[in-house]
Amino acid sequence: MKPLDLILDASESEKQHIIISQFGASLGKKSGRLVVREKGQVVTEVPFDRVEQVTVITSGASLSTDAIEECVRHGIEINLLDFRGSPYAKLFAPGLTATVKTRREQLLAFNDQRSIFLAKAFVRGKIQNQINTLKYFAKYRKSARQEVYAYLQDAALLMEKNLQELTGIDGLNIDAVRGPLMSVEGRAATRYWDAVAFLLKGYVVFPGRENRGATDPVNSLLNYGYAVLEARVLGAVLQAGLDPYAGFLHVDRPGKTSLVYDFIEEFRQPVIDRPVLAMVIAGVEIGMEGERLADGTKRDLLERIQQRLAATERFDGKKYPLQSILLRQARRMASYLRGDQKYKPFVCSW
Amino acid sequence: MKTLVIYDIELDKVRTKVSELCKDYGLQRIQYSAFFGELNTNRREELRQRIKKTLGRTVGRIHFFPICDKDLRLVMQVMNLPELLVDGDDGEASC
Repeated sequence: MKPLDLILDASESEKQHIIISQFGASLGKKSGRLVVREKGQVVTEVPFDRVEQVTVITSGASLSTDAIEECVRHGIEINLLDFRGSPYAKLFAPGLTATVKTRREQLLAFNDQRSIFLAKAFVRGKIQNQINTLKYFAKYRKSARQEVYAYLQDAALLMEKNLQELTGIDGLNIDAVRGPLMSVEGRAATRYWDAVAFLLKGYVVFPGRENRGATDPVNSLLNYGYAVLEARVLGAVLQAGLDPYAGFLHVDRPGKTSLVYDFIEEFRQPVIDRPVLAMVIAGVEIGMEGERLADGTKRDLLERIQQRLAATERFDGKKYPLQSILLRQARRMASYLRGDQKYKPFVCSW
Repeated sequence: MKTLVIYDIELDKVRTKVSELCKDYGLQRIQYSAFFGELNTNRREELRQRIKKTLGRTVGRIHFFPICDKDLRLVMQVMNLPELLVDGDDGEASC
């Protein structure tokens, strides 16, 4: 039995994100609770209405159909991630909230100005968030490490220029503006990652940004983080009734969730870069097993991302947890496509 | 509001079901027949109705005590835990 003091101090019924990381763990249902077992022993039991999400990050885990059914009924998503952290499956109720109008308008938007408007908004949001992330890390170094402060400020200033270039880009359809947009995005990104490399100098070896197959700690953390964020963004896009495969900025390719890649751009820096960079700067040991992140580090990072998603940011004149901003933005994109509302990218404060 | 649920139920089967229900509502066991945890008015009423249904016509009594923060600060305990008792010690532990 748990001591009374602990129960007294327990914060008021916050929803939990269940992470399954033990090989061979099983997820089941008992009465109205989700039960996690490891080696036959019960390790966690949580009532379904206090579960926010379930993420399985290990292989060899088993899920019971009863548990899946109950999760789906409570609107709890189950994410299955592979060792890289990429979601390979997601379990949710079929045809949850999708309206036909949203999807139809989304596909039609590809041929008119709406796709250009959205693609520009995503790029603008991304660059602005990169600038703000640099400013965020610069502000704590204003007096302590002036050379870093100056470098980050300069980079931010140059990126503001990239931002201005966006206004001039226009065309008949998205295919005509994709090239210029990608070029601005790419140049801003190069400056951003250069600045990040400067910021991290002395803490850890950061060879510059690398996407897939990176073997250094920082890129591995970022790639793992982005993959996890991808699962959340996919969830938000689906909940808003959008088709994750029909993107605007990213070209259609079979099996590629292009809209997720478009929409995720607004959130990479605020949700993943900040905790990852903070973690590296704080000197947290990043465990590697050969060329991959160690399981303990993956779990640590997941918990930090979770905290970040629960942290509040300013949005629309109010404070909301980042995870609900994600959902609101997805719904807003859907309603923009249906012609109801203007769309503005999410920009995180610094 | 924090709520204390205590019960006396004769039939083992019904008693188990009631304790399972308490756990489903996120309450924690503090004694063999006592649960404690956060329940708002709606959840408390929901739990009451489900327990009432589970009890049916069998013999038993279940009490619900909502407790406010002010009173919670006055909580006291006296206990001897078997794992804390050492030989020769009269083992008085309290918090």
